[in-house]
Amino acid sequence: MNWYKYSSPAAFYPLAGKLIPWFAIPSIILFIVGLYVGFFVAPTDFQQGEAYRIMFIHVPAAWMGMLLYVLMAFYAGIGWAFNARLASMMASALAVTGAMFTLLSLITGALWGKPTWGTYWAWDARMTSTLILLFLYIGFISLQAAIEDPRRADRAGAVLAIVGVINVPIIYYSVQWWNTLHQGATIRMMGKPTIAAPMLAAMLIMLAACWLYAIAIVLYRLRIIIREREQSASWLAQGATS
Amino acid sequence: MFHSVVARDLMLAWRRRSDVFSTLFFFVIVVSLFPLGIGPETQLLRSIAPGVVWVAALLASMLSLGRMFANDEQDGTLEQLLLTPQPLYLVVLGKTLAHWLVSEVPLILIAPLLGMQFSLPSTTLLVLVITLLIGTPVLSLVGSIGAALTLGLRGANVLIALLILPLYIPVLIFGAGAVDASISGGEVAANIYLLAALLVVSLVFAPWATASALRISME
Amino acid sequence: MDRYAFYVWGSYLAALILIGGEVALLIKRKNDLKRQASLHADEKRRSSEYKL
Repeated sequence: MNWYKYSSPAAFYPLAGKLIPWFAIPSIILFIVGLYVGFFVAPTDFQQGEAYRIMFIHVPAAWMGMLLYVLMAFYAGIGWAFNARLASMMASALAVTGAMFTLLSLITGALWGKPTWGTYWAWDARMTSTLILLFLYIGFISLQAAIEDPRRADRAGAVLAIVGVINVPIIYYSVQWWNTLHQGATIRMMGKPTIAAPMLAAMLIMLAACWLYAIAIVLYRLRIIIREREQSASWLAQGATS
Repeated sequence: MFHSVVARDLMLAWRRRSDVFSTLFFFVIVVSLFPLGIGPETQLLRSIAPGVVWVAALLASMLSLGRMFANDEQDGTLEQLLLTPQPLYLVVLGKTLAHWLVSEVPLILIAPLLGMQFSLPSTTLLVLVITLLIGTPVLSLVGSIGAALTLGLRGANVLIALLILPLYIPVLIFGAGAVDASISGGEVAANIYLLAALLVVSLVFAPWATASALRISME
Repeated sequence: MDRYAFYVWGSYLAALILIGGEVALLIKRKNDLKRQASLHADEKRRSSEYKL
């Protein structure tokens, strides 16, 4: 099958439209199943009581936040290197969803921290790195929003995303370093409770649900971006001729 | 070519000396605000000094970065620079060096005075200067990427801060960490080595990223 | 429910708001786009009516 024909935005648009329900509906089902298993099948944790159940949304959200950033940088890089508009549009589509998941993981992390460790925010390495990841997302989104020319926005975003993705390990290790310096031995804030099988199952189901949701919503946003660019391009062309 | 880029930027900066001084005064004022906001207690000031001086250095960089390419873009020099057969990497390196000399070195020179305001011992002042000496070039190098990406955009200055400050965090951590270790008797050298590693990495990669960003912004 | 209820409910409520909000804003963005497109089409039609 010739996949290359889908590399043009115009051709991918209808394909994306057909794909969305195939991801959206299973996502909703998995959310329901995951929450059921997480709340009614998984037992109460010995150490953390009921609070640990936040993990079923916190951990998937954190992973999605990180995964989507890497994907975003990947697509942006491809779009820049191969001059492939669709890949660049995909990067732009991923950004908002990634930022949303990162924000969600910060909020749920704070709400998990309060009953478990007594404080909403402790500057532990993981949460601090997640906060910085959110800043990186905001930077990418702001940069693209500030540039009017779509191709310049695509390429500038690519440079920023690639610089960002290279910096993420540097930032992560420097934050770990900082945390160790100021707190003695690294305190594991989000110590995972001993994982019973239903807990792990619920977490993985929720992760799958978030993953499918992300695909569906990103494809939906991608279609809108394709439409927006196509419209403004044709209006510009019409403006030139009328 | 490299020399002429640096020389020209230095000469232009000399003509606009007030820009340089205003960045320096910003640095001094910001550092002085903290005792006013927090209280003059010596122990407390000594403990916050590393972070305060370094954060102020980061913020002062933000002010000066916008100027790196904007003036050249306006008078058409940037276009010419992009067209020369010389590798853009070297041109960018030259402009970054000029930026460092003009905007960061004054901060390094005045930092010991500010350190004394915070009652830092003299060995710590030395460590402070060393960390700034190694770390501020990284600020110029990484900052140049932001300056190039936001060239000609409205609100470029704020945008540069948004893009670059997260990337500055490792420099802040190791720089302030070294000074803090000097006060509290910790591992000063380790932080400085890490800072030097950041300098090496950014010397290699940052000008390349900036050159790419310049081409993208100028298309 | 025990004292954790606020935090657990709060977390999932936050998830609902953020995810729902993302979907809702996206739908709004799409509708705005459609409205803009039809307005533009109307404008074009009207302006071409006056051309001789």
